[in-house]
Amino acid sequence: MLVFRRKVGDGVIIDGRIEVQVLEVSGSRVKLGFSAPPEVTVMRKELFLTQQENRRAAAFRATENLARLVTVLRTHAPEDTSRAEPPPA
Amino acid sequence: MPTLTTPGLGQFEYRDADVFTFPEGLPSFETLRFFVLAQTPEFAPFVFLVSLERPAVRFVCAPVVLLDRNYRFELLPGELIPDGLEPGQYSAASGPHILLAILTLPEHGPPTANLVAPVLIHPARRLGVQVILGGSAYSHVTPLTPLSAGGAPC
Repeated sequence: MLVFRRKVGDGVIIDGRIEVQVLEVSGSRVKLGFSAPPEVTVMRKELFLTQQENRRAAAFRATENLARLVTVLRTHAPEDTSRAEPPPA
Repeated sequence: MPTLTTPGLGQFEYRDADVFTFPEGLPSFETLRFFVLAQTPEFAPFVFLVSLERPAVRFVCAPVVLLDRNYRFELLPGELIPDGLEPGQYSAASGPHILLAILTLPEHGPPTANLVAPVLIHPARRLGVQVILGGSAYSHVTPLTPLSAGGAPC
């Protein structure tokens, strides 16, 4: 990983066409500004990972794995399972 | 009652009360706005989230409270808050809402739960949102114990 120390107002240029600028620092939070061509997608890392994980999750194929998981999860579920199921509408 | 047929889970009946609106869809499936929340005794406590518009898109979910009873997060004013939700604390163990974790069940390797992005179900509003959490408190690939502790892979 390439690491820079930047102050508010400082920037970083990626690939000669993407700019990241430090806009504000407040405690442990940093506000970053991104300037990039329209074909470049910029998003929060956790959103990217969730997009990826949702695609993987939707791709499962069979139910035999699920049957085994059910057995394991039931064995280790907490005693209070009152919130395990959605309440009736 | 209407029925849905979805790959790997078969056919099941559902009621209108089982249909939830996801105003923003789900990441990677943003155009799908209506999901059926279905469960069968055979697979309880797992819950299935099945797209009404495209039943081939379906997810296996686990109630987060069964994975982590102390799971909680806060939505702060001024941050990105999904439509239909208010700022405040959300907990897996209390409140009018249900928190579900979407499970990834790979053909090889251990199953995992995405605890970075819980699916929040609001039964009274018939609303669903997948909330994307910042920070590093949780993992998008949380192992489902005890399979991660050396049990046989699924």
